[in-house]
This record gives sequence, structure tokens and C-alpha cells, in this order.
Amino acid sequence: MDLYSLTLHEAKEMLESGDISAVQLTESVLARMDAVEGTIRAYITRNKEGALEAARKADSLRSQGKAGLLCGLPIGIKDVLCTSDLKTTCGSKILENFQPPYDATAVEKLKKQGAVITGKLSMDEFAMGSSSETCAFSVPVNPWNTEHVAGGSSGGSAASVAACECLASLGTDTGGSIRQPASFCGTVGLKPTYGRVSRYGMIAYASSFDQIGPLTRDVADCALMLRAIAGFDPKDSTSLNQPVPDYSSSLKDGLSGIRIGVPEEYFGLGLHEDVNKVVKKAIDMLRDAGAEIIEISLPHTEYSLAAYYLIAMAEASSNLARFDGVRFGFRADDCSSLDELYRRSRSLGFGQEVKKRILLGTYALSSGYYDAYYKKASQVRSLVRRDFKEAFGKCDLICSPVSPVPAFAFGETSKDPMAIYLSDILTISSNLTGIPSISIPGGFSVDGLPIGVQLQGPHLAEELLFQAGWNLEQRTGIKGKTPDLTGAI
Amino acid sequence: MPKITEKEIEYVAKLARLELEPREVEKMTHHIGLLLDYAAKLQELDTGDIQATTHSQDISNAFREDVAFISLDREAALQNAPQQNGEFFVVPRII
Repeated sequence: MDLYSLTLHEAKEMLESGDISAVQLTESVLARMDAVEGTIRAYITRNKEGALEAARKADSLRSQGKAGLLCGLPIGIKDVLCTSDLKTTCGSKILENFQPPYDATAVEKLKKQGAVITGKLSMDEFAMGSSSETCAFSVPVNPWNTEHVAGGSSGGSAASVAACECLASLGTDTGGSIRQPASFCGTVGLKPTYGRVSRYGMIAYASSFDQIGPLTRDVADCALMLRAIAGFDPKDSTSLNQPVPDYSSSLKDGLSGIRIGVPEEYFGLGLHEDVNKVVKKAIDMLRDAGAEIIEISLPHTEYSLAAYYLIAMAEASSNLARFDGVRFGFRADDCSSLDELYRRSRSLGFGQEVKKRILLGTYALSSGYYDAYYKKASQVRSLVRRDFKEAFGKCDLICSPVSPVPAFAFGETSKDPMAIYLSDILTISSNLTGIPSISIPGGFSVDGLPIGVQLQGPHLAEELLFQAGWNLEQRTGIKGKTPDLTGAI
Repeated sequence: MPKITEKEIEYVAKLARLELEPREVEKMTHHIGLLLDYAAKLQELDTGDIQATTHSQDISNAFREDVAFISLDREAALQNAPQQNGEFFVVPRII
């Protein structure tokens, strides 16, 4: 077996027993990266030297009995998270040469546990998109079919894990940006409860939705990663001061006594037939595992997307004001006034999608429109929260598709500017409400594209998500299946 | 609600410190118009006395002890500046 295709927990066991070294494991992953990266394009910045150095250090720490939870395990980082030793572009020309002076807390925690950082992963510019096509640098492809997108915005995070260019990765999720690419690329992807993982050092898109989470090859790895990155951080005033459980202990067989709700609104118009089939089959598997399946309703689903986009873009317009060509990032040449410097630096530095969202957000917050758009959307957010609160009175978890469709073909969404926004309908409610949500590989489309199954739970119910996700994973019969990339090598 | 106009997009661009080419104004007006048409759906809901949610968790202020700590040193804070003089960020003359 090739070391690069191991899960984190398999590699961890082999490192612990001394069967392999962190250097051997890292060399295998780097060689795999060399072989497939020309096709997959998951990385914006590769960290070969740094990774080998970290692997040597990991081996040395292990020999001294000081191995952390992730000691010697090669992990990739979405390029939205600040790294003190690697430039952080956020997929944007405006940050092309940005070298952060510090690590994001989630990155610092990975490093503290001995992780080997393989590099910075490709993404939609400022995490604004659902296909990673807005990235100013390398646009990742779907390892299962290179004519299809990897999804987004954490497209590189999903593609790299699926193509074995790292064992696991970190992504971020503002409206589905971890779960949708995980679904498209056949990996596990978790958006934790809002506040579970510190956002310090994450370049903000929509601060009241943004959350960092892991993308992994299986549920056990996801539990391991969350344990490493979760926890209170005084540097993020929204981080939750709650103990971090040993998530791995929630991976146990059987779901008896657990009620799983199936929202009728999530199986409506526009749902691809193959997605419907895979998710319905997954629901049967959860029932076989002992769960009670009940029908529920989330009546404001059809309004949630409009509310989500108005709020996200409003928050983005405010967050992205910091990119002004003064303290960091791109600056336009030969500006004679400060105002001209702001305008030209921003106009030349930002891509079209980012400009669009800043404009709409500014409009939604502007005098005369605030009540009709931003305030209205924030009130509808309350209605969506109420829907979920009521639903969780009747069930413990909610099961649904992640995306209404499998991975789009490149360019497919450019014909209809609304299509790509509408495809986020099934993931955005977790962000509006701050609840945890996971995508588990459920099966494949007729064309061989992966399809994920989404499980959502109440605040801080990650253990329950892992338990149900793990039970599903044991029953799908596709665990360990990887894309055939021999053509790419 | 009336359709957003090119003039309004130009005004919003000014507020957001963005300069748009004429063809960008046209495209943005069209695309943002589509998004706003879609958002008009929200007006169907009566939200009269509903409290707005700005945060998904029920937490209010996060206080900490008021103690001094070492922050980023000056050199590190200036390291990414397009123009600086070792002490300050340098911008075009303001007055």
C-alpha cells in the first residue's frame, strides 16, 4: 500500500508502532504531489522543504516520547488561514505576496500537535464561490473527473485529500464551502458549531457565518482533527468556552434511540435524481443502524438563501474594506491622492465576483435600503433559527443532501449567473443558525461523480454527527474508494 | 421594488471605493439586479415584530482582564506594507 493513501488514524498507528517514519510518510505524499499536482492543481503554495523539516522534527519528538496528537501527519491548509512561514493569498491578486506575521489559531494548534504542513490550498477568491473557479491562481479540478469542478470555496482542500496530496486538510465554511466540495470530491467534511473553532487568523468573509473545519478521508480522521483544532481562544471573542471532548470515543456501532429527521423541503424541485437515490439509500442505512426516521418540515427553507446572501455580502462589504493598499497587499502605482490609492488598488486587486459581492453588500447596508434588505434578512434569519429549534424538538439529527446536484462541469454555471448561488440552498441554513453539519460520502452518480449525505445537529452536537456519520460510513460500502488518477501521472 | 440602475451602482461603487469600467457597470447592474429580484422574495414574509438575529449563539459581550500583553512588534506589523519608512505606513500626501 502507498503511504500517501493512508488515513490519519492508520498512519498514526504505523508511526506509533515504528513501522514507518514521518519522513517516509511525508516523502510519499510529496512524491504523490509531484505526480498528480500538474493535473489536480489543488495547491497555491507547496511547502516541500518545510514539510520535510517538520517531518524530521516530528520523528525526533516521537523518539523523545513527545509525540502530539497529529505528530508527523501531512496536512494541507486552505489559503484563507494565516501561516507565519508560508504566504497567504486568499486566492486573490490583492494578497498575492502577503506573508502573515503570525499563524491562525487553528494552524498553530495543528503545529503544536506535530502536524506536517504540506502547503496552502486553492480556493475561490476570498472564499466567494462554489466551484473554486474564481481563484486568481490555480483552479483545482475534481479528481474523479477532471472536466468537473472540485467544488468550493474549499475546492483545493477537498481535491487534495481525494487525490492523496495530503492526508487531511483544513477548509472554511461560510455557506457550505467545506461540505459541498467534500460532497463533490467524495471526502468527509465538517462545519463545526459556530464558535467551536477559533477564527483568529482566518481572513474574514462573513464573520457571523465563517467557521473552520476539517476535510478527511473518513469520519475517524474528522473526529481526530476536530479534537486538535477545537477550543476556546481569547483572541476570538465569538469562540465558545466549552470543554473539547474526545470525539473519537463517539464512533460506536448502532444508532438506537436516535431520531433522524428528514425535511421534505430539501427534496424538492431541482434535486438531481442520482442525489435523491443516494440520500434515500443512506436514510435506509441509518434506519438499519437503529435510528428512528421521522418526517420534519423546515418551512422557511425557500427564503433562507436570499437571507443568507444579503447578510453574507453585507458582512463581506464591511470586512473587505481593510484591503486598501496601505498596510498590506497590492498597491496601485502612481496615485496622487489617498482616495485614488484606495480606489485603484481595490479595483485592480479584486476579481469580478468579489467586487459584485462588495457592491451588493454595500447597497444592502446603504441608507434607504438597510431596512428592506439587511434588516429584513436578519429577521428572516430568526425565522430559520426558529424552524430548526422546532425541528430539534422532534428529532436529534437532520439528514438531507448536501448539494442538489453532483459536481458541475467547468463553465456550466457561467451561463446562468443565478444558478451557482441557488445550488447552496441545502447548506446555508447551518451557517444562518450556527449549527454543526457534516458531509459523508454516500455513493456515486451514474456518471461516477461522488455524492455526499448531509447530517445537521443542534449546537455542539458534533459527537452525535460523528456517531451517525460513522455508522453510515460502515454501511455505504464505498469507504476507502479512491479516484483512479493513473491517467494524470 | 424598482430595478437597480447603473447610476445607483456607480454611487455604491463610490461608497465602496471601487472604480468600474463602463462595461463592468453594465454587467454588475444586470447581475446585482438578478440577485435583488431573487431577494424580493423576502418581502412576502411578514416580519413585523420579529427580532433580528445578528449572531447565531446567545452570547453577548466577551470581556477579559484589562492587562497589558506584548503585541506584534513594529517591524512585523510593517513587513507587508507596500510603502513604509521603518516607523509608519507611507501614503500619498493628504493635506
